[in-house]
Amino acid sequence: MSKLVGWASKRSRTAAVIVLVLACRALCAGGLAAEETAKTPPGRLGEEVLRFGKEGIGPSQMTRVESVAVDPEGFIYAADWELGRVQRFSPAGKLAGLVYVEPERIDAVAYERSGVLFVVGRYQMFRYDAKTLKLLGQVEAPGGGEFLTVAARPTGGVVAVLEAPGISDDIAFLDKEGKLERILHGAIDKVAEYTVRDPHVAVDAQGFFYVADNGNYAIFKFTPEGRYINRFGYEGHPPGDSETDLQGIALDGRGNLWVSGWRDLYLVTVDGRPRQRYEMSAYGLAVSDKGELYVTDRTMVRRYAAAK
Amino acid sequence: MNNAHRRFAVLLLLLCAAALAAARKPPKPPAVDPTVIEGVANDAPPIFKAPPEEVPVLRLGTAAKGSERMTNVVLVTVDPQGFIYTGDVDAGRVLRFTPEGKFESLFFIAEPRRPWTGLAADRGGIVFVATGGRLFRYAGASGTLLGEVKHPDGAGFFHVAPRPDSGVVASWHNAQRDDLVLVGGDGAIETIHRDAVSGAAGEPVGDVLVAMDGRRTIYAAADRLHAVCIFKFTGEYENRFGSEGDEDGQFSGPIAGLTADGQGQIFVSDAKGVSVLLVKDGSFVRRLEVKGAGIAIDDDDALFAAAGTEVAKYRVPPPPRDD
Repeated sequence: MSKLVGWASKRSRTAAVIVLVLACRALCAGGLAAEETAKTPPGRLGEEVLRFGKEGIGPSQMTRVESVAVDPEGFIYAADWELGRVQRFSPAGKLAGLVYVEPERIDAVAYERSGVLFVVGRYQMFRYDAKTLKLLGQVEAPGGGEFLTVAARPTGGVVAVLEAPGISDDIAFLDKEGKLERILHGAIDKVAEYTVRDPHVAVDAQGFFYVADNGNYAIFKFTPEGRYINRFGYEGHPPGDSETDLQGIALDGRGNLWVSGWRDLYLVTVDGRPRQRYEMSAYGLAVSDKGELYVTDRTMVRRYAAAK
Repeated sequence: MNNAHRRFAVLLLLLCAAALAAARKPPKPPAVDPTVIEGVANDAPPIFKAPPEEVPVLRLGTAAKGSERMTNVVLVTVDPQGFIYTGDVDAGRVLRFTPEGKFESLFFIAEPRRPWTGLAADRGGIVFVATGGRLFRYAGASGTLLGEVKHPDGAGFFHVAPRPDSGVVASWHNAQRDDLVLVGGDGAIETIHRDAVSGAAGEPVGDVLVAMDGRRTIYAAADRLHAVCIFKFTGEYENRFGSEGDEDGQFSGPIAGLTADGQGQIFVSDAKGVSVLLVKDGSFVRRLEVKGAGIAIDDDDALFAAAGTEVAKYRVPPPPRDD
């Protein structure tokens, strides 16, 4: 009996020491752990490494930042839909420049590899020197169409989605000067029920491009040559689901397709298989050369480490 | 298990519970004492009974001696890096302070004996000085004179304020009319909105103070009208508010300062203090019982007020939200 008590006593002492150590660790790291849990969504999204922005209309402040781009040096271009301006921030989130775009509404912004910033605002597209934010000129819309969105191509130049006259849509490939290389007429409406509405476009490293379309509530995938491959939705939102709300789209170098839908950020594979969903306010998306993901939520920009 | 073991186990459980509670509790933010004065040049006693927004968080010039002493500072501006420039109209010089309030350098302005009426630092760190009807540009860090902005109809510049992108907006007038002038950071005149305030008011208005907010809305305050007129960036007149009197939202005496923050508020300084009004409809928010002639807002929406021998910085709360 005494042996049994001794054994129990030894076991309970060991257990007590373990619990004590765990308790001390919890005590020491408690606040930090709670904070990290709050700011790092679970799953494959990398850790949040930067956030900046304050609601307001003053310089460096944000009112409705719904599109974002990032250059190879890590400078961030946050486009404010409501204020009609693009702000250039240093990699640390400090304001480095600001330009107002004349149409006073910005729908999309794309950093082209030669240092040109393409900005779509109220159906027009402009080119700016990305470093100085000096206007280089307006891009002529091919075929009399109206620009809806734009994304940079990995090999240089951009791809733009336009609303063409005659209730159709076009996808145009433009060089860094904004000159038309080729155009796909009726790219979406040939394969879908409706023409595009409030679209977003992204291009992967191989040149495959994806149009997130709020007209057909789906993401359309095309080959680099412009041949339609398929369409898909994202978690809980199959193609055609009218509850779909596509606010942004971006691709990273690991074959991840990021899709923002106002209150959620989704991760899907490039062939449309759902992977993760994160509950968070998300609008514009961009991925840097390092694979870092930038997410805007109107009055703030967040940077996440490369996806794990 | 004997009583000692039980007591030890209970103690451990309590310890674990305390540890879990501590882990779940968010870290408490550090307490902020609004009466703390951050500045280095401050030996004045803090005003404990004033509302927090009327208690300076930084004071410049209070205890300054020698070259950094202020004699009659009525103008102030802040650049994007937070450097503070004060305009001493008696001494005819600009003092430059670090964001922490440490005196750094000074320069004397051209035409110091003329009435000095405007001072503004633009986004590129260029300091614009309106004096004797002329508008000069200086490199803020060195004080080097860079040149003069020339209105096609001659001298007549009065007030100047930073634009949110680059350059400044300036007011100009002669005997016939008054203009709002958009000047680039390089000193080139981009646009002149001719006969802006007089044209909107239907009468000559004389000296006009200007400000511009992040929507590029132009605000123009005229003493003679005791009102603030609102213009679009394109020069189109939109609205005006204010009148002469002592009630909330009214102005009395000369309007000495005008600025706008990033939260949709306009600040107007007159004999009674600094009135805070809402941009959207001119409705009165609060009056700050602070001394101030020239006023300015920095990128962090802090208010700076120039009051003769000192310049003070205030933290002003944003307006109440509609929702």
